[in-house]
Formats: sequence, structure tokens, C-alpha cells
Amino acid sequence: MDNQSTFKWVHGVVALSVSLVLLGIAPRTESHFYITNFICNILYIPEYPALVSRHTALDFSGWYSDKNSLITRINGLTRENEKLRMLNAEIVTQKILIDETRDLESAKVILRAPTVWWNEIRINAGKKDGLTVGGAVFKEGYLVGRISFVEEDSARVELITSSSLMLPAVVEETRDIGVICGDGEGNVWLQFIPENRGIEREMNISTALVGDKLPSGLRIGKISEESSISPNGFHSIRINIGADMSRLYSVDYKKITGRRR
Amino acid sequence: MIFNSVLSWYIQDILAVLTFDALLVPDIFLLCILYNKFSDFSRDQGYEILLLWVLFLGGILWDLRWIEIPGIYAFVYTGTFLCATWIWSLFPESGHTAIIVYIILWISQLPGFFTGLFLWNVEAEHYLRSMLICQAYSIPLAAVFSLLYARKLKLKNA
Repeated sequence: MDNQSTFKWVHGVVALSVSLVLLGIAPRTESHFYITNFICNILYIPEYPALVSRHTALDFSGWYSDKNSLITRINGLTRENEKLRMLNAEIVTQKILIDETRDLESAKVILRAPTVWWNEIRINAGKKDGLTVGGAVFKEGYLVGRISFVEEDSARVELITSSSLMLPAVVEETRDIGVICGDGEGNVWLQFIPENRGIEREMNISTALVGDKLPSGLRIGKISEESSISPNGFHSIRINIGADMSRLYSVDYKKITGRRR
Repeated sequence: MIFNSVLSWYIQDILAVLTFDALLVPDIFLLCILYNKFSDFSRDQGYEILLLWVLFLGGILWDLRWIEIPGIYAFVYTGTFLCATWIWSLFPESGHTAIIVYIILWISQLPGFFTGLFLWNVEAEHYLRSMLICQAYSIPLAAVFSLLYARKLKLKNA
């Protein structure tokens, strides 16, 4: 080892010793805090671009995560709102149903001609019983038709299986509105429903937006599996009618009195 | 040399500011000083002593900026430098290859890393993750500096 090399090692040992001395002294004095602050203040200037970049990146990531959490929250609230709307609609429907099916009068079917078997029936109640044209007729709590013609002692009921009776209806679970129409052969179809609306079997169908004599929320039936797509892209979905249309010996109607008449 | 050292210290500091984690910042400053030592083919001892004190001052500055206790990294850097130069001196001049430079530079990152683990009280379950991160930067950095050395050696021999 030459002198130069020895000299280097002496410097190395001195540097290590100074480090150890500083390490030993520093925790016992407070002066190095002033030096630290001084150094940090000086370095603040060259570090400033990095600090700004870091804060900008943190702000951006914070903004991004806030945005994501807001979107998640909005989606959650939207789902909750939809559920509440459906629940509210169901409550309104039930209320209407209770109102409409309360104090129902019964009438016997006195004529069901084979030629218009799925289109029309005649019942033994008429004007004197408070029936008016357009009134709803029920069987087992489900809508089976509406009064089409009233005489003093009898009335004609146009059945929902008739191809000439078209009624606005709503799918209660999805709140999609379409039109129900019979085919004159015992089937009833819910028409004009757009594709991919998530309509499934056993969903409930009730009347919608018909008018004063035939209010919304009257139960009609449930969605069947069978469906077809019309050339214009809308769905026609077959409905299982709630009432047994093959055993219409009697029907129920609501007597319209006073102000409503 | 002074400019390179200051620049490497500044880059190391900026990385620490950006990540706010001085533990996981590579010791670029130490690597740069060691590279300067290895690539000095004149074997000037005065230059080596100058590098030693520059490294010591850089270590003190790093301690004051990030540790608040002066002496820790000054000791680690100086000790690592002395060990590295001693190992380097064990090889004959023909053995001063880029591979040896790479190995020494790679291993020289470990003392600083373990000191950081000790100072920051890193929990045992994070050792492996920290080690992997350390290797992720120390291996390529050592490779870069050894490639620079290889280039300089080639120019010298040309």
C-alpha cells in the first residue's frame, strides 16, 4: 500500500469518524434542527416543481376517485329510486285496486254468442243498476272487459280478448307502457313494447292511463313466455289473463253513482 | 464531476419528493460517485479523496433533508464507498470489467436499503415487497451505469 493509498484510507476513516461523531452529538442538541430547517428552506426552491407535480397528481387522483365514488353513488341512488318508484306505483295500484274492487256488484252472463265468443258477452245489469258505457267489468278481481252498450236491464261487455278492444297497459315491474289487444281467438297480446326492456315471465300487467271510468292500476294478468317481434322492431308479448275467460258465468262491476256518473 | 454529483443528488431528492418515500428511492448519488471512481482510469488518489468527501457531504445533506439526524447516510455512503473501492482494488486492471462494475454497483445499493428499513421501522410483512421494489430499480440502474462504464472502457482501449 503506497502513501497515496494510505492517505485515502485516512480520509475515509476520518469521514466515518465525523459521521459517527455527528450521529452521537446530534440527538443531544437542538442546533441540527435549525440546520435541517435551513436546508429544507433552501431546497424548497429546487424541489418546488416536483412538489407542484406531486400535488397536481394527488389532486387529479383525488378528483378522479371522487368522481368515481360519485358515479357509484349516483348509480346506487338511481337503482334505489327506481325501486322506490316501482314500490310507489305498486302501492298506488293496490290502492286503486282496493277502491275499484270495493262494493262490486255481480251480474250474470245471459248471452255469449258462439259467433262472437271471444268478443262480447251480455249481462243482466243495465242502466237501472248504474252501469254506464266504458265501465270496467271484472272476474276474480281481474279485468275482463268494458261496457260497450247499455240498455235499461242489460248491457253488452266487450271482452279484452276481442280484436277491436285496445287498452293501454303497463308492466308493473318495469313501468313499460304498451297496448293490450286480443286476437279474437282467446289470446291477448301486449304490443308496442321496445326490445331489451328486461320484461320477464310472470310480471304483472295492469291498465294504464285509460280515463275516469277505467282508471289505471286494474289488474289484467301476467306476462307469458311467448313473444314475437313485429317488423318495426317492437315486441308483442302474450298475456295470461288473470280471469278464466272460459268460465264466465258471472262478472262483477262497479256501480257508478252520483258525481262520477 | 461536481456537476454530475450535484445533478444525481438532485434527481434522487426529486424522486423522494415525488414518491414521498425516501426509503424506496434508489441511491443514484452513490451510484454516480462510484461510477466516477471506477471510470477514472488515471487512478488519481486525489480525485478519489475528493469523491469521498463529496459523497460524505451529499450524505450529510440527505440526512438533514430526510432523516433529520446528520451522520447516518453519510456513514453508510462513505462506508459503502470504501468497501467498494477496496473490493475494486482487489481485482487486477484486466479484471476491471463491466460485469464486476455491475455486481459492485448492484450490491452497493443494499446498505442504504437496509438502513432505510431500519430507520422507517418497516414491518416484517413488508420486507419482501420493499426488497422487490429495491431490486426493481437497483438492477436496471446498475446495468445502465455498467453499460456506461463498458462504453468508456471501449473508448479508452480504442
